[in-house]
Amino acid sequence: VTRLSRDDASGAFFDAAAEGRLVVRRCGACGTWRPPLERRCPEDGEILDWAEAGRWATVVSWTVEHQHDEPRAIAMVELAEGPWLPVLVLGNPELLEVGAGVEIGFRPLGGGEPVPVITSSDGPSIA
Amino acid sequence: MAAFGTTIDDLGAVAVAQRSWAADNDLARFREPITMEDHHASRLIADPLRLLDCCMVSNGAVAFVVTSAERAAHLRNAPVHVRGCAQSHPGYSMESGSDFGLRSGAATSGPVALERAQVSLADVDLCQLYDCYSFTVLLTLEDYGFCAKGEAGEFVAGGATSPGGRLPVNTGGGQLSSFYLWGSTPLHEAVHQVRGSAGRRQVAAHDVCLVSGNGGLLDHHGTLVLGREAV
Repeated sequence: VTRLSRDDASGAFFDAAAEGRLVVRRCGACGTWRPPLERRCPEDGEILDWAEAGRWATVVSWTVEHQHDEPRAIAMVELAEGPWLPVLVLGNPELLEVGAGVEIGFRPLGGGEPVPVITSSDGPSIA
Repeated sequence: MAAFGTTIDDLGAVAVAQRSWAADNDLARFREPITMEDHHASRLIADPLRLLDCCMVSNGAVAFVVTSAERAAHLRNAPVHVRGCAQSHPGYSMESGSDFGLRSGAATSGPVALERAQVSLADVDLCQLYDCYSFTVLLTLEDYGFCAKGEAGEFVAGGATSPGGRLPVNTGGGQLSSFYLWGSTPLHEAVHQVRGSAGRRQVAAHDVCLVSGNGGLLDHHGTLVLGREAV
């Protein structure tokens, strides 16, 4: 499995993830939640803060990519706050359904940073 | 697929149609005909996209000479006129309500380019559409308005875009079958077709050709309308 490393833009995300907390972006001026990769609020141009979101989301879509030794399932989920987040899927992705509610956990990959994961109904517990 | 009912067969229809064009393109890398079964049997890359849904990787070079219509009139080859163009950069935000992957910049740049070209969708004889994946062709056909959302698969499977069809699309085989030179692949084919120099695959009606280009994760879209006659 690919080892994931941090950079300046992702450090705060992974620091929180190591504590089991999910942080994404939020505008200090208008309060709108934004995806973690965004830097500025498109509404008023403010530099976005990091803010802790709940770990509940719904499935938007997913794919299974076959470019590694083991097929890897990656889903896009929509947080209750609105932003989308790509997550790794544990368990059988065929059991996922668009719109289904999922809980987000974290798993370190290959000794690297912890990445957000969800689990399908036959997957391991991520609580 | 969940939003509009697009199927694996819809994707396969694009790959099969474009390969049928490539058979008559001496520059095409893949010219052997393929069937829907071949498409379904090709290996998965990122579900639901299979190998035959993906553009190849290749190297090459193509150059376009742009000059005035007045100067072009004195050149050896018949000129191809730029009738109109437009860009759209949706810049999708990955959040609730995003139509990322469902609607591209073709929906906004297409009508503007056609208006500047002083033609309507019905005047378009053929299209050269940016085909990084089979899916992109379906999305672009729908967003330009040739089909309603979710209906491009049936349109392509019915032969409309294949040799002899009423709207030839990617007549050199596209990036799925001929060669991968980004936006130059569709533009190169468009110039040949409008000029009438496409050889065995030359289409009968080639007065107006719509050309598309995508960039980023569908963040950017360009539409070009080429014609035998200037505006």
